[in-house]
Amino acid sequence: MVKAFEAAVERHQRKIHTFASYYLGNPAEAEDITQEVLVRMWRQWSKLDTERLGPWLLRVTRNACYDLLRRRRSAAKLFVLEPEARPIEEGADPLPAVETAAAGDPGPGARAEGSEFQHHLRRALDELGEPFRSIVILREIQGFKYREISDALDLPLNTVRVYLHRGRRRLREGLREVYGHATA
Amino acid sequence: MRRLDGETVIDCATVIEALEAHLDGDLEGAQRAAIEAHLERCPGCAAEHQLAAEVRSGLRALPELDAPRAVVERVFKETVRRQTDGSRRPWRRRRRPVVRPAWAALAAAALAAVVVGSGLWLTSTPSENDATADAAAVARATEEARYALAYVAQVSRRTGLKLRQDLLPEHLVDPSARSLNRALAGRPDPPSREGASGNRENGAERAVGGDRERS
Repeated sequence: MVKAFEAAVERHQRKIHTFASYYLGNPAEAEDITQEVLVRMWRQWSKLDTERLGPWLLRVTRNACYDLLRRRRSAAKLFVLEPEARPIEEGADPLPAVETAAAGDPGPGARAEGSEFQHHLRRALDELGEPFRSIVILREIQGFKYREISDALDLPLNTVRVYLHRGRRRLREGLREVYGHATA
Repeated sequence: MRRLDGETVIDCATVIEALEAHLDGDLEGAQRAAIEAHLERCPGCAAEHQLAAEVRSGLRALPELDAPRAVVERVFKETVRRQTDGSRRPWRRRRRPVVRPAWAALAAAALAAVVVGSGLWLTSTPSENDATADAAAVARATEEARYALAYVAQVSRRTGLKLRQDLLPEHLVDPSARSLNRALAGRPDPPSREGASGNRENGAERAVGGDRERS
């Protein structure tokens, strides 16, 4: 039983950690979520259908990330702006993704590409709401098929497609401000 | 949404709406031809199409990320530890005394002592295990609380925002204390906050030590 579980951990840890990393934009939180999800998998191991483990893990990971973001936003209500501090931009997240202070980690993907466009794309992804963020990550970054996403998020197939297009469009709109592309 | 017709000049709004579907190859025949014809003669839409293509390719270029090995090892340690704890049986820890036939009376007394002692040990060992588990849980909770406070301080410094002291008891301290007390007492959390205020005297104060003011 332990061996089977360990094999499942090795097989699925990348998918869990990748999703959490891009969803949360915070390496430390992504690690916490990854550990939490894998331990939860252990706790329910005897009840899980191993053939449907992938969708189950995606769903649990996404829900855990979503809950964490909600808590993060809820905590934002506890803060007020110091008079001498710089103003927070309208609509901006007062609790932006906090990079690991010790390592100065720029977050997932940025190191790999290092381009300005990638940086702005990552920032735009951080601003993307649900359900678009999940679907964009699952489809465009992790390469899941529409059916797999539909199964994991319990959404109709066509809805996944529509949400993906809308999500990418919103990313485009976010980047338009930076790159000044003309609009129709 | 306008209907796409290969013989109809479609407007920019329709093209923009259909860009993502076009990039994904979801359009066919007349629809696709109309979009492409428009893109050839409209610089604005062509630029938007280019941006859309860059977004798509930029996302697909982002790498998948393995969890740090330390995370995986912690999971294994947690699961192996739990597996080991679950397989232990308290009564197997105790060694059965060796009874020599020549010492029957003493053996009977010893056996009686073993039976009584086992009964006591069986009732005490779960408490000891619980005490150990509680201590570990408290240590972990303390660590997590430290991390949470450090995170709050870090965010406060980075954003120039100040923690609202007046909201801390209501949004952080009291809910945490109520949940903790209920967890220790084995009671579930109440469905609404309104019913919790009456528990403040015997709940939050006791768990938090009566100190609701934070500096």
